[in-house]
Amino acid sequence: MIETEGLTKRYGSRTAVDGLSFRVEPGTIFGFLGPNGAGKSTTVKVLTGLLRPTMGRATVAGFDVIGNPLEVKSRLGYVPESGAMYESLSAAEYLELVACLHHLDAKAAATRMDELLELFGILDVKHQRMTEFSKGMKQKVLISAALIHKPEVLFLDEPLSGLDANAAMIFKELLKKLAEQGKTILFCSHILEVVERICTRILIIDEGKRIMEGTAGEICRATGRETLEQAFGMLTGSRDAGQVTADFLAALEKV
Amino acid sequence: MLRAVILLLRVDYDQWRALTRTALKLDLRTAQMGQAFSQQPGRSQGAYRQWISRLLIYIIMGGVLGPLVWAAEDVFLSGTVILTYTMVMTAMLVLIDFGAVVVSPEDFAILGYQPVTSRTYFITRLTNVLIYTSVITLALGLVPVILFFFARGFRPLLGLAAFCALMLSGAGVALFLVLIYAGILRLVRPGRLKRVLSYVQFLLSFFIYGGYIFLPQLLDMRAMARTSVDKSFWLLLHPATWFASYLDLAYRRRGLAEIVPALISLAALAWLVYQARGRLALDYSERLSAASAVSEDRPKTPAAGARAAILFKGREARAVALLVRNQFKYDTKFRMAVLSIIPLTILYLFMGLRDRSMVDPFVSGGGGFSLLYLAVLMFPTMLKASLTYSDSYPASWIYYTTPADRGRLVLWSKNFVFVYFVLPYLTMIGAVFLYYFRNPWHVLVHMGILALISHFFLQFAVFFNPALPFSIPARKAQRSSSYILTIFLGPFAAIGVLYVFSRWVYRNTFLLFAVLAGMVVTSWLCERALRARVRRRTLSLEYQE
Repeated sequence: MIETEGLTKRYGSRTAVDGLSFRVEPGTIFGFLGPNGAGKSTTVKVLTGLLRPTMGRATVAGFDVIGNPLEVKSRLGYVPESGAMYESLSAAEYLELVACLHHLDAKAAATRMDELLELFGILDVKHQRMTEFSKGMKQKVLISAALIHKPEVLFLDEPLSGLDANAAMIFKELLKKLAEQGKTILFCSHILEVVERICTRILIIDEGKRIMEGTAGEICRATGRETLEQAFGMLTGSRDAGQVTADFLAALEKV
Repeated sequence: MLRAVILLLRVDYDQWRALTRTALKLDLRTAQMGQAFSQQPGRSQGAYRQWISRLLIYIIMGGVLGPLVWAAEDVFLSGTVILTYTMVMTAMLVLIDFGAVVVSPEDFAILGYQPVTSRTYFITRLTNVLIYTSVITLALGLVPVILFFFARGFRPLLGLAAFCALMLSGAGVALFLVLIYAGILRLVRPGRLKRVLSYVQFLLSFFIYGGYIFLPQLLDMRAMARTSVDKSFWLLLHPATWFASYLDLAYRRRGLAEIVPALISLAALAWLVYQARGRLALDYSERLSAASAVSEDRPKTPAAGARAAILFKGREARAVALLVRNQFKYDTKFRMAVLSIIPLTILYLFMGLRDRSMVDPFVSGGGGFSLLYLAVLMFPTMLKASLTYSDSYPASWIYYTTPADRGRLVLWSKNFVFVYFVLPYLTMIGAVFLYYFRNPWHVLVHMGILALISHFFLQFAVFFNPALPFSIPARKAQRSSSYILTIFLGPFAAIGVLYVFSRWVYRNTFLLFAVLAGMVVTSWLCERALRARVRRRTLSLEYQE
């Protein structure tokens, strides 16, 4: 379970997350949406212990992220948006490191590593250094690293970034199965069709503040729009896409 | 045993072992990154070879002090000189390769959400720093230490004391620099952190280069062979003397003057470890990470692009001008690499004044070469390296996906460096020369010759490595290697060329003009050859991911 109460994060005078409160129950795939700079990644970084909140409280898997950071970290899996990893290592070496940090038995870790890499079709290159990997292959390793220790809570920040269609399909199926097993999954993505299809609940934030929460259907009904994409556009005050495009093309013609 | 020690420190042994192994692998592999792209097969062998050759260079560098162990009567004196040398060199290497060795900002992004305590991270980093510095220190001090074992008959205790002094002094230097560097993190806000760190590194380099340059001047072997030193209070303020006291203790001098400095060395190390404890923790990595995420506070200069275009109006020329100018403004590493010439210049200038070698080459008749010429002549080569190797290399895809002429980009980057960096630098040196030579005509001709030679250096550098600007990954230790090679090999090139001019060319006006004309023609021919080569080579260049 994930729970936040009045969560606030400020960078100097700029408020990235502004008194955000929400709750994600186990067995839920929770879509966490917002336009660029809305505070999604900052919230996730606070929940994973990468940043300290300026104010407010947050618990993950029943532990306070400030009071019990190690308990929290040993129970979470995280796919960062930045894709940060030690690329000079091979996939096997990187996963072995993550397994060691989570005190997994070496034999069990090796088996699980092979299973995950096989699932994503990169088992045959596991001893190759990741500097030679494509973006999608690195993303597959990051996802495998997030899952290798069977975490209770998953934070996925743009996890589909760079994945090929087959891997994306497998990953979405995997998420559904993990949710069925009772895992708590927080899913950040800009691909609203995917969010609409796989997330059981959705929270939309803008400028660090909560805008609306509900199922995709509830959000569409509340906004009087047919799709989540349209509802999202309305809630986050985006301009009419057709008009923006026309203005842009006109500006290009003038140059 | 090791597990027990690590557990005693309340550190997770399994995590420590995994993280230390990873850090060492990363150090080894990132040092080899540049070669990895060009030599895919047998890559790890190449990495080991590179490390071994680097260590051999360090052994040779330290070996030059070997005779001192034989010659000096006083083991305390020879120990102090040798330890000062190894401490200065270790500091230089740690300083230049600092960022990658001590606290990697990327560590926090990768390890921050893993269940690793700050204490475990600290001990891992400390292990990494100490392994790295120990290997360098040992290589530098290997020859003198071995000689301490045998120089006065077989004296294992003296050799062992020399070994301990060497290793502990190296560790002390590394920890001291860690403290200075990381202490800044506590005081400076993220928006200014990168800038302040680079200026601190810049200031420290004055001391490091100074130490390196002045130390050999203190070494008069014949005098030292007969000399022993009085352990005055002032002498004992020099940390190398604390560690050198181990040698005295092993050589059966066990008075208060030997025991107290040795105890001070141990206390200082304990204090450094204690102080470093908080500074290498994961939250410090967090601060460095935050610094890299926060944009730097700096005033806006809206006319930068317009100014860059005054001399560089062609398409590629303008692109290069904008790129290099902005990299200089925003890329701290590049800016510092360019500015690092200033401490060298000032130190060489100071030495020139001290040994009275700042004399007009038209009247010196081949003598009186200031080391300042070394800085002048090496500057273009150093600039070329800084302009090629960069952390911004992934952005070089733009050269390959636009219709820009890559050959022209390479050539204009050379021209930009010459016009905007080398010429202003030569003008500054010219003003210094004018003050000392008192003859504007001599200064003008001399600076013209130096400008042409600098341009030759730049042409050669581009000829042998016609790389697009900021397009090749920066390798760890690559900078230190190039600095060391510059410091070691530079004097031969500089003194050789200038001796010829001062001894023969400047003394004969006709010959002077003939040589000057010859140099201009040669430069023009070189430029043509360079263009042809660059055009050919850039056709086969590929983007380095």
